[in-house]
Amino acid sequence: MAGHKIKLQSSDGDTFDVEVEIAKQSATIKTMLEDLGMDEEEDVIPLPNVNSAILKKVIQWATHHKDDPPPPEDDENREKNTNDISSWDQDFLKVDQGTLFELILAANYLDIKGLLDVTCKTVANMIKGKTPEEIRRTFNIKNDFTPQEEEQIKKENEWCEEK
Amino acid sequence: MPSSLLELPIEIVYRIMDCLDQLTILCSMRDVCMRLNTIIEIYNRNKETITTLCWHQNTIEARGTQHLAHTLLDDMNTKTINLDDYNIAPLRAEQLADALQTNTTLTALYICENELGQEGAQCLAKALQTNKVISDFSRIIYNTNHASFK
Repeated sequence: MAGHKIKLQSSDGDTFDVEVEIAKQSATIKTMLEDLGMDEEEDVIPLPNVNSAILKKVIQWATHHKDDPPPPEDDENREKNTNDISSWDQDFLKVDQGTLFELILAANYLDIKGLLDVTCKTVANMIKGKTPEEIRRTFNIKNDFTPQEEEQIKKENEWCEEK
Repeated sequence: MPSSLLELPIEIVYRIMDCLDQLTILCSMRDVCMRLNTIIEIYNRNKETITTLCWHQNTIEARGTQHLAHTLLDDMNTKTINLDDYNIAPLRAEQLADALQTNTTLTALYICENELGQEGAQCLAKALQTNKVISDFSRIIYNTNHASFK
């Protein structure tokens, strides 16, 4: 039924009224609605793994993409194209890394394939073309190799530095 | 709440790696830290279906070639490697030759339009005497690398 709404409750207790068709982009919520018969407006679906700020973003994304066709199935043998992120999604994902990673976890938990794809592609694009040192700086990763291992890596690199 | 790439569940990291080509995984992600190295090792082991690496006309030259040598030593899945126009100089050819001597799974190596030189070509030719698996290799080298194999 168009316009029919349900309530989603975040981990910090806030509730959001969301159209059923928008909420059903989440396979997790869709299953809950179908299996538990939770389709009344007063029913509240608890989402203990998603906080208010992230749930708000997820609902914003799902609302924008409500008329999208279902995303294609993954082809495990093929590298995913990361150049097909829409400009709206690119703007939507201009967030700090913590938020980006939380969106990935929320998309994974809620099983929203389109959002999971686009967030993972965004991280992949942050990796492409960088050296290991640049990746450490980008993602604030500590170089935890021992001095001996570091020496071994340098040694392995020596020959290829020569021209 | 994850504040770092490394705090993401491993299946999510795999999903991110599914968006990257093998060269990026080997040249950018490898040697960042121990955890990523472990994840890459398991990821590559599980990707049994990856049998072809196509790195032709690639811009990552020296480090890329070094990782290719690692791949040849460690990877038991890759059967075909395309290095056309890859800027493999004689010294790098020698490193590749060393790796080829121990690799037992690669069956085809495409390596045209490289500047192997006489020395590099001879190293590879010697490696092929040891490696009996590669069958699709030398005809291309004759044509485009300006070097002879003896």
